[in-house]
Amino acid sequence: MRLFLRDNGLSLFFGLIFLLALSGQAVAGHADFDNQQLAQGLQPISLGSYLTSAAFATDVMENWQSEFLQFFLYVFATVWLVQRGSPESKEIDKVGRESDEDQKVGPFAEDDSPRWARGGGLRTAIYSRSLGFAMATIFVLSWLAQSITGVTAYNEQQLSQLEAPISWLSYVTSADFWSRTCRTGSRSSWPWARWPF
Amino acid sequence: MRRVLQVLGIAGVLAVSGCGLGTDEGGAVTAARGFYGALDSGDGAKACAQLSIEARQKLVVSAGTACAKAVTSLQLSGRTLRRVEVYGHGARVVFDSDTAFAADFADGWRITAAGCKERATLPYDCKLES
Repeated sequence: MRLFLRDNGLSLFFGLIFLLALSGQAVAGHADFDNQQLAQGLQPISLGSYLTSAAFATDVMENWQSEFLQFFLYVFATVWLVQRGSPESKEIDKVGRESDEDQKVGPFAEDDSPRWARGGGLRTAIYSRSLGFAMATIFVLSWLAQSITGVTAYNEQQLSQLEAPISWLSYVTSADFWSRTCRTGSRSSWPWARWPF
Repeated sequence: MRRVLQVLGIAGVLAVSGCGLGTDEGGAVTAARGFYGALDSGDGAKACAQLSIEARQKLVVSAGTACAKAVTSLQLSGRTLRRVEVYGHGARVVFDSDTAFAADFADGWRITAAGCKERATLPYDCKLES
């Protein structure tokens, strides 16, 4: 047990503060939601109902979106862009895609390399970009999830203010959706922008 | 494996938040039909029972009379249901001759606004609202 804690301490620490932050977000968000409900003469809801509400899901998806956008940008930007002096950056003379020999793919793959690294052609091309594709896919899925939960949360607010609900298509071109998306963008890029400092 | 869990997590959030995606149309429609049905038969008390507390109180204050008399004097009517949209705990119920808004309370769905006319970029203009 002690060995497990020592070997996985970093993951456990960040996992714990993630759970604490998510719990805090749930409690504070629930209180804020209920305040708005009461102000509009509507029914406050339980914490359990709030955790399964579109309002909570939208806020959680917005956070996840920013994380995967951040990693997607990091994976691709660090291929061609560098930051002198940063331990997170490549060395200046190694900018760009590295050779097959350096990456040990195709004819330079070793016996224990994954099959897709050895084969060459489309499979190796996909495998060579698989981390970026995975991050981009999860980002797009969370963006889609945010749009679906977001239109429900937005329309619930519309109805409470005696305004007409809108379609999903109208929502993804709305100020509310793009305001959240741009907030995600700025949240994703800020950690990397302060590297030089 | 971790990526599979992350994708499943997103799918899980979508599935769970689907609970807020307009599944309780029946409750909203029942409240609206009960409200307009009571008005059609001249039963103001029964119509008032379908209103939210806030809507009822506001009606009484603005009309200066008891709720049953005030609500029937508005001459609202809704016969043929056109469509209903439910998002989370709110709903819009559109009839051929009127539009009402409803919300989900602890004791069930209640009408929060009725006699509503749509305006282009503004909230609905309602004869009765909370």
